Amino acid sequence: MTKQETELIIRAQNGNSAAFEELIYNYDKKVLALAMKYVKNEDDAKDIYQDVFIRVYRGLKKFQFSSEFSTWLYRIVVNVCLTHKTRSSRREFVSIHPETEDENMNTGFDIEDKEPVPDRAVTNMEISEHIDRALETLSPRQKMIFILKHYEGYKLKEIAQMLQCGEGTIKKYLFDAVRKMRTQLADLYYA
Amino acid sequence: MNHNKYKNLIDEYFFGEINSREKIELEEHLKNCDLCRSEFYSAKLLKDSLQKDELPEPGTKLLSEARSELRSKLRTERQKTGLWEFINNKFASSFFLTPQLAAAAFSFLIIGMIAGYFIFSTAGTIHYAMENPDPGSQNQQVVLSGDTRISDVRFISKNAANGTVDFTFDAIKPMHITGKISDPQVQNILTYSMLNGDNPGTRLNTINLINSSNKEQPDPEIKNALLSVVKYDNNQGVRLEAMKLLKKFSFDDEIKSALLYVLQNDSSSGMRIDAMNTLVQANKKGSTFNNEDLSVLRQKVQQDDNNYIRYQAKTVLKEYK
Repeated sequence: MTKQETELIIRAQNGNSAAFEELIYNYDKKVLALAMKYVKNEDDAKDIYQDVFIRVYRGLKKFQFSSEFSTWLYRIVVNVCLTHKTRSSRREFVSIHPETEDENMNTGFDIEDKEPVPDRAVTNMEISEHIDRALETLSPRQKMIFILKHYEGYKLKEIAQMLQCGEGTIKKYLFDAVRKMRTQLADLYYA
Repeated sequence: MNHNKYKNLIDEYFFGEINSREKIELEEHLKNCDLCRSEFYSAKLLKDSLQKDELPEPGTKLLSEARSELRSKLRTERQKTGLWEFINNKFASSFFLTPQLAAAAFSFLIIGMIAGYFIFSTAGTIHYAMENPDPGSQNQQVVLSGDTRISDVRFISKNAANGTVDFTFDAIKPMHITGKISDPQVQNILTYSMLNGDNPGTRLNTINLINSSNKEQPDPEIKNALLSVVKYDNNQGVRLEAMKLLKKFSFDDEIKSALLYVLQNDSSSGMRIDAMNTLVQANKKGSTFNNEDLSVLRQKVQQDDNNYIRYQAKTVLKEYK
């Protein structure tokens, strides 16, 4: 945490609304981007955004600098996103895959056929659409961990702090997510 | 052979979580295991595909809407804490202790009397001691007329043993203040209005009022508010006026940082041009750019859709070669 950020937090904790705005505007674009990736809907993403920063506002006085501010903030983001999924579960895709690793996931491959792929004109947009569809097959927790790891570049240890669970648990969720993604995207590689 | 272990190591490898010992072990294994090598290529394909996919960039309009809604919600939030919070936070843990119960009852009685007074009185006035923000002066008697609305009652002390209660409340009443702009109380109100006024016209008028004071260096609170407005106000006219005013002040790192922020983030080319011009002028007068500043300018040269901004950024960068 930089000295400037620490000062901003202290000023915001003392009720300075300009400092609060400056503090959150360092992060809010990334939070909104993450929410958009997570819910794939601008209105839902805005709801998450509002909910996150209202919670930050309410909880900031209790922030005691025992972790990075960003870790604390993303802990809120994760909670809001996971809760949001629960609240709107009727509208959300429900994965039919079990969350545990599927031992048979790779047995359908012919190894010889799966060696480096022939070039294929796949546009970035097409890839992005496939990835989004694949992400929707993950459970909320898997998806959140995958987004934090891949798109935000957090270390497993940091994600474990955000989700307040062990690093091993995070690793398991991530690996399960990766394998599901790989299966989902197989068509893209070998079509 | 434990292929599952190596499958996990492959994933750890592509997520940058593998240590050097594990990496060597994995490399050795891949040399001799077709199954895991296939797994490795499959994981690599996923990694390659993912690298082409980035988080969506929220549009300026969406971000601006989200910020505007948040501001409005925060305003409401600031007004929420009150009696209910007091009951929850102050009394919940010790409500059944007799002295506290008595203090609470007494406090409620006082509040009820005040509320009743305002509700049922139409022309009466009430006098109370108000803490004066100026520490050098005496507490003053303030008169509240019957048209004053009270809300947001917050207790400071629940000890009523000495016959007094200590609490705050918001008294909403039309006020008329005459004072110099240099007066701290006037400045507080102006700062609040600039940051929290619902109406852009009010925010604009506030800035114009400060502008008319012709001060070369403003009060720090006012300057901070202006820096915030120039970056985040959702009304372009208000941002522009804030920028004009900031340009009048002595150029420093805070102003430079705000202008660079505008240059990077403002959707209005007019705002960006104004920020660029001010930065160029400051540079001519001896202000220098550090590496971080220069990287913003490099980004502008490559990405800004306005020819003038690209040209000006390029001109400044030439001087630093």
